[in-house]
Amino acid sequence: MSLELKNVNYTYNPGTPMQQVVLQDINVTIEKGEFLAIMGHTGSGKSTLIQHFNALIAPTSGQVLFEGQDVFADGFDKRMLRSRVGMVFQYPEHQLFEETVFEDICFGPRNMKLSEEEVKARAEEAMKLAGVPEIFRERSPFELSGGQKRRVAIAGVLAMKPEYLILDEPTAGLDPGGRDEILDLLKNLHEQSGISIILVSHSMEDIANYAQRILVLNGGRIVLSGTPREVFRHADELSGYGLSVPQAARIMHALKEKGFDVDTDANTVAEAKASILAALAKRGVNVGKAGEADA
Amino acid sequence: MLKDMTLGQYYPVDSMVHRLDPRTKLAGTLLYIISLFITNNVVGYAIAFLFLCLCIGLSHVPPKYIIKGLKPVLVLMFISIFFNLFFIKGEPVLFSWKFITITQPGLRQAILMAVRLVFLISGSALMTYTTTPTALTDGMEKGLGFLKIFKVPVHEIAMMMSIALRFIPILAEEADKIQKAQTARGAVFDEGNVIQRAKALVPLLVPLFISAFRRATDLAMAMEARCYHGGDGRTKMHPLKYGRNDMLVYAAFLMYLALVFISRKISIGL
Repeated sequence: MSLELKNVNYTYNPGTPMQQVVLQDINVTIEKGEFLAIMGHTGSGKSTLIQHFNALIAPTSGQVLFEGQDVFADGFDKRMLRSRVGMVFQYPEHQLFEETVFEDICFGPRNMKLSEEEVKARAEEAMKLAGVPEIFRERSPFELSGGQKRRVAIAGVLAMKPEYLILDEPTAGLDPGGRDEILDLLKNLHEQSGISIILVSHSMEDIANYAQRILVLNGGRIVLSGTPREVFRHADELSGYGLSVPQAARIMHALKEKGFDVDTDANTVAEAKASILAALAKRGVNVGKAGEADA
Repeated sequence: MLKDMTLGQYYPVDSMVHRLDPRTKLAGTLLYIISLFITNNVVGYAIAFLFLCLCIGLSHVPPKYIIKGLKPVLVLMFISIFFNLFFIKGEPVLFSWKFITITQPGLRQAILMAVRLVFLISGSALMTYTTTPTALTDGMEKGLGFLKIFKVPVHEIAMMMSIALRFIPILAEEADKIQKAQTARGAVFDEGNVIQRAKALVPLLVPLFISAFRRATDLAMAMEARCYHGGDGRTKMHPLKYGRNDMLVYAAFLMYLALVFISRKISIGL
């Protein structure tokens, strides 16, 4: 059970002066149940890469395999693939079109040619899963706020019951509150519903807190890959790609330079706090209160 | 889908044709179109063809690219051929079966019209391939400036045109993204009968229209914020100026027109 890209290359406008190599020699396997983050500078090929996963873009060369089958082979049911590998695009405005929120969520399952009861049941379930408040049901999706639109867009994809959920910058343009809500929603979907999440993001904090594995793209190639700890160890290399490490990690590096015995692999605020307290305790500083308060 | 349309897109290479003043290219295209309607025999078409080849050669735009751009007008061409072929009456009749008759004048007209259409489209496409939309509207604004005397808002029309042209690629890209977002939700755009296909466009058109209106409002706001108030007293950063090449091209076009006129007198029976 996996989603795999094998030796994928993608060239935009091949054979014209506008020719542009977007992806080069991409090899990725995404296992079921994974939480993968893809990061990279603007123009590094992230969006092009993820559109290969549900056959929206055909690679110029190479293969896309879903459960071992080539998705571009003749007779492969792409509609089935797209219901099992759901994709939420960056702007919910690109997909919302129906008169009411509920009808919009029904669009996906209806395209799967399910019975009307099944469509409604799935839409209900997706609304709950994505945390779309009941009062929005009969409202126009265009009246909602940015964060709410995003929830509706996610619900619209969840209604197809995908096993993999791909999200392109789902937190872009949201306020901090809205951002945390969306990320917590993804975490819940991953942990409770067992959906594999593939998240494209610019925010190092988001990635450090939620992802199990990170791919770093630069110039259309995968330049780093591993757990957040492994990837964020390459702070210098990352800044060369126009990326940075999470704030917590930066503080830990600075403290280490000042001679504190802290864990520079700490990427989240919680990890950093524990490590700093431990380092202070080693030096004999009384951290009893701070340690007790959250311990 | 929309991205694959090559007709009317700028082709970014450097050539003598690219560097011409847009007014020269506009006038040239107009003269070329007129010349196509002056010609009435094979000699004239041959001259028009050679002249077009010369222009394409000078422009460094690959001929393959121009032929590819003709695809969208194929339908129009077939309609024209169809009507000319079957509905022009005359003598002698070449082929007759029940109510279908093909006459020699009909056949001749069908072929000439098709050729004329191909030349016309290639010629005007060459202009858009070699001129950026901005330069094109600049050229129109300046070239048609004399209409201001008749209270025609030339600047405003030119501005509207350049904005419209500017938004074509943006909206095409947007349409592409929307199409992908809906395809990801299982929408299919190329299946079923006409009514089903038209219905399938709703999920594409609604977000596209909403986005177009939003962009228009934003742009109007941004222009107003920068004190845009129409054409009065507005100066140009790069005022258009004719160069030596422009004069040469005008001369070449006049000579070409003269040749086409002369060709009318030549008759070789076709």
